[in-house]
Amino acid sequence: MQQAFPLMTKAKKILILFLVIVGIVSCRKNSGPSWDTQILAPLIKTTLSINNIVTGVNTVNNSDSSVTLVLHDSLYSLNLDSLLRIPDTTLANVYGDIPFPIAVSPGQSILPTGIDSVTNYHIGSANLTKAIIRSGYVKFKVKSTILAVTDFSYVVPSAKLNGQPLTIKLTVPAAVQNGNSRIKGVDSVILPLDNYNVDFTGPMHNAYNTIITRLTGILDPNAQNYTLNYLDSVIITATFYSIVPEYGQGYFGESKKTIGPSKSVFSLFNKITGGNLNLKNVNVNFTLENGFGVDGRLYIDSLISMNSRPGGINIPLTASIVHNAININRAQETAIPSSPVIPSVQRFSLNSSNSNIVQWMDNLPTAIDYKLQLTTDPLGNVSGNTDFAYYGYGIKTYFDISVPLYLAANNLTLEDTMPVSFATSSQAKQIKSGTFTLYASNLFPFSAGLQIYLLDNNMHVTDSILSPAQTIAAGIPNANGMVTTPDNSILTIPLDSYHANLLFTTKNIIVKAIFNTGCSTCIPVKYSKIYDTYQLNIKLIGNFDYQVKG
Amino acid sequence: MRRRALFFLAFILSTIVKAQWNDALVQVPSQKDFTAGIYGNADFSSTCITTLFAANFLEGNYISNSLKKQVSNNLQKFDRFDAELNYGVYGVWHCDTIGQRVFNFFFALRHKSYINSTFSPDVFNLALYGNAMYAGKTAYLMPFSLNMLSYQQAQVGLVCTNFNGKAELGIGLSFLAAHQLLTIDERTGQLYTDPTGQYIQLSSDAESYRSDTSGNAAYINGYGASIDIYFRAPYKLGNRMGTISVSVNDLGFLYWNNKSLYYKKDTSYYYDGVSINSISDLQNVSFNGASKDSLQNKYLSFQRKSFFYTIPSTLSINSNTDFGKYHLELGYNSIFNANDIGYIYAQGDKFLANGWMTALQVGYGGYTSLNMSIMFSKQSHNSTFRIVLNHLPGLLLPGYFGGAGLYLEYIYSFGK
Repeated sequence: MQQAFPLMTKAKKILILFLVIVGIVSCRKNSGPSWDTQILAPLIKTTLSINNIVTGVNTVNNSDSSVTLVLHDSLYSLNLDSLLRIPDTTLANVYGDIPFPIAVSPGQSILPTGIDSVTNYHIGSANLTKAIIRSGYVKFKVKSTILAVTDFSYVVPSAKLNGQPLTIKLTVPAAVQNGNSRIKGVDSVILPLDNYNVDFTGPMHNAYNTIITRLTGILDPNAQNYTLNYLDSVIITATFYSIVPEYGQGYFGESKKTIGPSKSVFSLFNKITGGNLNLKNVNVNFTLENGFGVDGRLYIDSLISMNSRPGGINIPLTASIVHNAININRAQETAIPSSPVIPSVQRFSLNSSNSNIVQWMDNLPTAIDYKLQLTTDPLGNVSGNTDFAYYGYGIKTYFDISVPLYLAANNLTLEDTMPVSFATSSQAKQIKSGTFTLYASNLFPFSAGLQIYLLDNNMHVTDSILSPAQTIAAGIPNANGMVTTPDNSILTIPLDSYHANLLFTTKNIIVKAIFNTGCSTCIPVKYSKIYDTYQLNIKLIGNFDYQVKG
Repeated sequence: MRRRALFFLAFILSTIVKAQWNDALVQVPSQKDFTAGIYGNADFSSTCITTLFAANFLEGNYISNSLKKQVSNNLQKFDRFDAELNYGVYGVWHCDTIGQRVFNFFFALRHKSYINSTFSPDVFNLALYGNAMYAGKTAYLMPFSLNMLSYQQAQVGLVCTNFNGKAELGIGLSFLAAHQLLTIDERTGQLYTDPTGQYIQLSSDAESYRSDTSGNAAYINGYGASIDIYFRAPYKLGNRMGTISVSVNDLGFLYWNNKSLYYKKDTSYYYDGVSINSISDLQNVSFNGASKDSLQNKYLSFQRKSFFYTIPSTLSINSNTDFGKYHLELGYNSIFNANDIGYIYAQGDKFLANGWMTALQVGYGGYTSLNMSIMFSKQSHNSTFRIVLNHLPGLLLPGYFGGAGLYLEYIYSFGK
């Protein structure tokens, strides 16, 4: 057999040999080759002005090019839904107990007619004379034991939209006789009440919380003649629910609210974790803004600067606005739909001469602890039911804080936790040891000690990158107190393969910067002014082993 | 006639080292009418890349500094490398007479794939060592030329074996199916790295062609045609007989479809880091932004278009003188459009007993400097088996020289 197929035998051998060689080539590893390279390249560059360093706060450039931080911080606000709440209300009408049979023809009324119902709408302690509904619904429902189709109409003449009263029409199916009992005919309808004007003054326009309703019911024109008897009854309900007023008028009633003790987060220093800050001056305006047509009175029990950092203390505000009742004037209506209210605004300026506001701010508060007492209509119904309130307006208290950056910092420590994703896990493995060099050119009159902490998935610090922490030198002010020539620093950050891999695989880091403005022990304190021309130029250069994977 | 068959056999090694006419297409066997053959050739050679380096690279291994050092030691002003994988089948019908002429008719199906390059030492250093060694210096990226090509060939042809006496004239026509192409031609290219790494500046004048990247390697992305021409004539030198032959192979083109990619740009790039506006922007800084695809889209904006591409063609000239049981062949080959500089060689053949034959070739040029190849052939009855080991320096001293090649062929004659 072997001699019979010499071609096949030899061809097979050759083919096998060739396939072995090709196989050696093709059986190479799935991953490509890899080798180490030394990369020298700029990675990141940035120019940081004061606006880039102090984020989340507005800055204002003063005429001398110095910079002032401006912060608006809300303390407490009373909104319309707290002042005027219209509860869900169901108005019910029941008709029945017909003493003797009454024959009705198609189209003829089956209910008493000709009398509008006057209904008192319960709105708590408020005496409401007028309202505009921002949103809400009415559900109209009829249950009937009449063995014929009936038509009902529910009209609220005191609620109008574009001059037309609120009108609901409903056709109720005939009840069904089931032995000795009847299966009621039932139907309902839901209508939105958005933008309806409601007059609560009743038919004589001298009442409050009063609405007029008109209910009619007829035998359907297509029904046959029908005789009402004692078995026939009709239950009609109108449920007003989820009512949000756009506007309310009347007398809202005297109410006294005690607010707090409560805490309001103070964001200005929320990234500062330690150290001391001395501000040359601080200007704070405490503002009361009343957008309601309601008189008010505010009594401030306490306004405390709370420093919740380790070792932090609380400093109560000492000023004339504390422990003294402040009367709040009512707002005025403009009759301009786009801007219907001129709020009443009262500002109280707090400065170093009339309060301890500088010390209060130097405490680097993380929150303001406050306790207030707010009374509305403290003098009763002096307006004659002309109190008013618009949606979106209310009584607000807030601070407008101006912090001129004329300061002294002593180990003032800022920390910012941020998510990062420098590289995918596979890429991170390609970056081996290296040296990263940070070139800094600083015009700011403060030094910045830097450290970067790496966090694990539980946000716990696992390691740091700079060992020890290194410092960007401060710009040196000239005789006029201004820095005109930047100070250059070179920070060298060696990374071994372990830390490089850790850095490039970590998902969160903390950047910590410790600022010092120079003489920390000088008496009196030596303040440095920050100008809008100051910049910190940073460029990060990498010189690292990078493993190329083919 | 047996002597004539041995005479033709002496051409085998040279045909393998460079693409030339397979002698089976032109020889005139005495016994059979038909010949069929199958062959395969894998070849790598370089002026600087050692065999060991190439083997580790191909295997996907880690390229150590000692492997890189092997290559660095060989770097010249201009360096080259080439890798080929060719295989195919063919059939020949011998000696049909038309009028006064005697013809061989043949067909062949072949796969050809090449990758070859010319590059400067700085290209190798940048790719394998990185740019840190060029701090404060300019790395010269030109000349740099890279060709990667694969296509398949269906060929028919004929050879007149008694053209104008004992001369031979052959012609082959081929239809080509194009698979993959990547060419890069860097006419000028310089990369400057600032001494402290504060910036990197690249100036580049480059042109590139690339086949459609959406399909896999088996997709046909174009078509083409080529022609092969062969002429061989006998001569007499004293009392020695010999032949001189001239051939041109693969003279043709490929037309790549309109999904192919083209890039041409003469520009300069300045990079001094990724700008961020604040420290919090660190979360948006990522090495992912420097991925291959994103950099390609940003800096290498290819346009899609169809184009013609001239395939590498080979010119071969050689003479073969018969010294009885020995033959001496002198020849020259050059591959155009393939980063080749020409190859000259001398080859001695010795015929042994029982159908064995061996040949040793020494040459210079091509993609390497010094080359040596050895061939063994065994002919028995109707079959011939050949094996050629090419680039013996690279095989014997893989850490010093660059080259390795293997050729296998089996030929079977049948019929009357």
